[in-house]
Amino acid sequence: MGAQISDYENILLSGDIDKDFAFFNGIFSKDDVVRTRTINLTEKTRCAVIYIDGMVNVQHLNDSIIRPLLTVEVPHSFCPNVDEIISNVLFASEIAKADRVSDMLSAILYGDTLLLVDGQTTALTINTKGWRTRGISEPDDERILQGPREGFDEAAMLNLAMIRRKLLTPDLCIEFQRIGRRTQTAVFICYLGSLADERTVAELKRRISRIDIDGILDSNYIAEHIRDHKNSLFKTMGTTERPDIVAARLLEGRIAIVVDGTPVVLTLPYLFSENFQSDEDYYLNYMISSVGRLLRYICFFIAVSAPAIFVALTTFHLELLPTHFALSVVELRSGVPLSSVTECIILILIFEILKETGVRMPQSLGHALSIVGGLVVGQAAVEAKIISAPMLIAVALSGIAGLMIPRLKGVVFYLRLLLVILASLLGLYGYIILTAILVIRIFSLSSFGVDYTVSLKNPRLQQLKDTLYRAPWPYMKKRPAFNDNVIRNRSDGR
Amino acid sequence: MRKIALMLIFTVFILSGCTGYRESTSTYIVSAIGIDKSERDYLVSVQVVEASADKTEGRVFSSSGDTIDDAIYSVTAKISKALSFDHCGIVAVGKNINGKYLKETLDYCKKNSKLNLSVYIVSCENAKQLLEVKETSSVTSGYDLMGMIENYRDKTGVNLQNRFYETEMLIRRENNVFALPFFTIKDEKAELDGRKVYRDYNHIISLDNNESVLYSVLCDTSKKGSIAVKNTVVNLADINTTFSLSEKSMSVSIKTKLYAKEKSKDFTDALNVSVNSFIDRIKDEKAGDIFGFYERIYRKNRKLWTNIGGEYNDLFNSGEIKIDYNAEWVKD
Repeated sequence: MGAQISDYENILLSGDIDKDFAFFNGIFSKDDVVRTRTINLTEKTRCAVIYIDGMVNVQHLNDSIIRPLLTVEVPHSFCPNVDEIISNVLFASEIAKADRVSDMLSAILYGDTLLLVDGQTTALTINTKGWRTRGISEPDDERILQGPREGFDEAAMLNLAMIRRKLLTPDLCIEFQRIGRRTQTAVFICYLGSLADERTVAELKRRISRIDIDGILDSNYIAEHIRDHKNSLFKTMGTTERPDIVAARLLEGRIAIVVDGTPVVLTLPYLFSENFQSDEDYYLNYMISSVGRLLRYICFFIAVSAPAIFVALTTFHLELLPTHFALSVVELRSGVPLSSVTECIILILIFEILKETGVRMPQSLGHALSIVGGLVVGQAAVEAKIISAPMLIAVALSGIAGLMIPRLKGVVFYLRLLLVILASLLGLYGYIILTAILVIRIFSLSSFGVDYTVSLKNPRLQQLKDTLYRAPWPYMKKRPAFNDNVIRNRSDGR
Repeated sequence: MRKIALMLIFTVFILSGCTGYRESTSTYIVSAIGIDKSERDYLVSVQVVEASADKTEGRVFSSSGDTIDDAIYSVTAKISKALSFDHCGIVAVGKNINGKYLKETLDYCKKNSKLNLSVYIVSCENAKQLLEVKETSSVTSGYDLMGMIENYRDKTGVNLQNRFYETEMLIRRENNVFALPFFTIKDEKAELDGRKVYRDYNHIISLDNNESVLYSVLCDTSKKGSIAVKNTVVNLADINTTFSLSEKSMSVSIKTKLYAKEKSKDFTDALNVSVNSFIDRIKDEKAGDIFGFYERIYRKNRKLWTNIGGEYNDLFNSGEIKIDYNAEWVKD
């Protein structure tokens, strides 16, 4: 096992700059991007600067550290200790003292510059972070027609600033911790102190403290560690790349987890109805939003059920189809060599392949792919009698409907497939059995102690106003009641 | 817990009858069944929808057997696909299907759980020939017959009441009378040519198309209808039939609106004559009470019913029936 920051927890500087400088050079001996430089502060006193190229703002480094150290006129009475250097030499705004080597290493690795001073066992870590970021752009997965367009970046501090800009209140609490033995990823827990449930915050901290992993590269690493039902298809933690959504959820008394290095922010508790809410619902006219929301519920049903019901009806319950429809199905399926269920499963898999390749492809190629995949291959397969047109329509309809609910895309795929298999074994009976199991399962889920379907289990008018439809803002006076401790009223703080 | 879960899943499979899986490509959809009777056997013709890549058309497979089940079993032995009766629209019975044979036919319809209760029962000279008619506007002649019955109902407003469940319901009534539409073949096309009326499964009288409409009016099962009067089709609407009954006579009052291009006393007179001559023909042929008049006595006046006893068909043939006809002309 290689060296980790925690291995240097109890190591202190010797005060001899040659020794200490050599010590750090030894640590980074195989890292060619670590830069070091020694500067003579006085005739007898030397300093050493250690930083990582690319992580620091070189201009800032030169102006606030190197230049002052080289040009400062040191009075005779100058005693070269770190306090004097902070007070009289450096121009940098954020300087911290560090005694332990582990803290110094953390700072260097996070883009700070380490300043060692001869004869001092305390070093200075100066904030010179200056790596390039992607910048603020609209998230591809959460595009909207109307409303704020900004999205999170990979830099956690920038993300926190974006959240802070929307919630100009001292009530906003941001708690910091590092997770990942090797990555030492910065993780921030954000919540509004007066609205978030203390027990949920404590539970979250407890779960996060139990994470033991060498690296956190995305928020999903954390989500999979702390979620309630680890083997459930349904996600019990929300994800978003939009600061406005995080702000809205914090205002409802939820908690956000910002992870450095990823634009995806986690929110919790997460309810089932949130899968059907779009970011745009709150920025458009409530009547339009409500129709959209209702359509999403219908589309979930179609996406999950259409192929299974079609397979059940055409293989078990032909009598339930109107005669002309049954005749059309028989006519169009004549000559198809595959059984209905095989045909259906193959089509579902092809649709998923096309969807996945379309997502991963460059946008220009994506269009070509959809034309070739959807039109040419589909049309050719039907004409060649490899697949039948009604089955293609059922699967395509289900696939398109599934796109309406992106937050459930993984769930929809699995359920669609399972329902088709059960419908092909037991007909509508099998479909109904699995649907019943599914409903029971959904109602048994929870997210950080909050019932996943709290608004449906205990329906109150105020709850339904943002569940089945979206009521006008003046009528949504209360926050969601997923815990009893939060201030319920949005307007007067009671 | 796992054992219980596994048992439950196993039970689900056992109780579900999961053997019902059938591919539509390995199934023939039956559109019509024709049943004829020779001296010894039933001759059953099954019309199926033959779907191919180029064309979808009807095909008739026939076979005979001691019973209808035997005959159908023989048909299945001749074909490579399973028969699906779910979408069977017509059960056609030939002229020899009468009395106990008609009862056996209707019993077969009752027994065959896959046969739809709303299948139409029709009568004809020869069921096999009727199903083999080539000139059709639908996929098969069976569905063509269905279309004709439904079109007739929509056009004239007369419900022929020949779905299986309707027929069963009529048989269970006090007078045991039901009527089946009668199809003939003219110029290689099937044509509706009136109705055949049965009592206790025995054929008692045949009606032409005009009489068929009047039959529905007098049975009080139709509020409108179209009949041909002097080569002109006259539409009747808002028909209201009332009865006045005694032990020896019966008064029937028919009020209706008569839609015609011109007001003509000839129409009303002709209609009046039609109704009276229809009643007279029934009396002449000793068909008895085919309209269910006495059914209404049974329901409304039990004392009178007891006085009449079981002789109401004789009473109908010999008793006095007054028809009071009142038509209001409306310009069509």
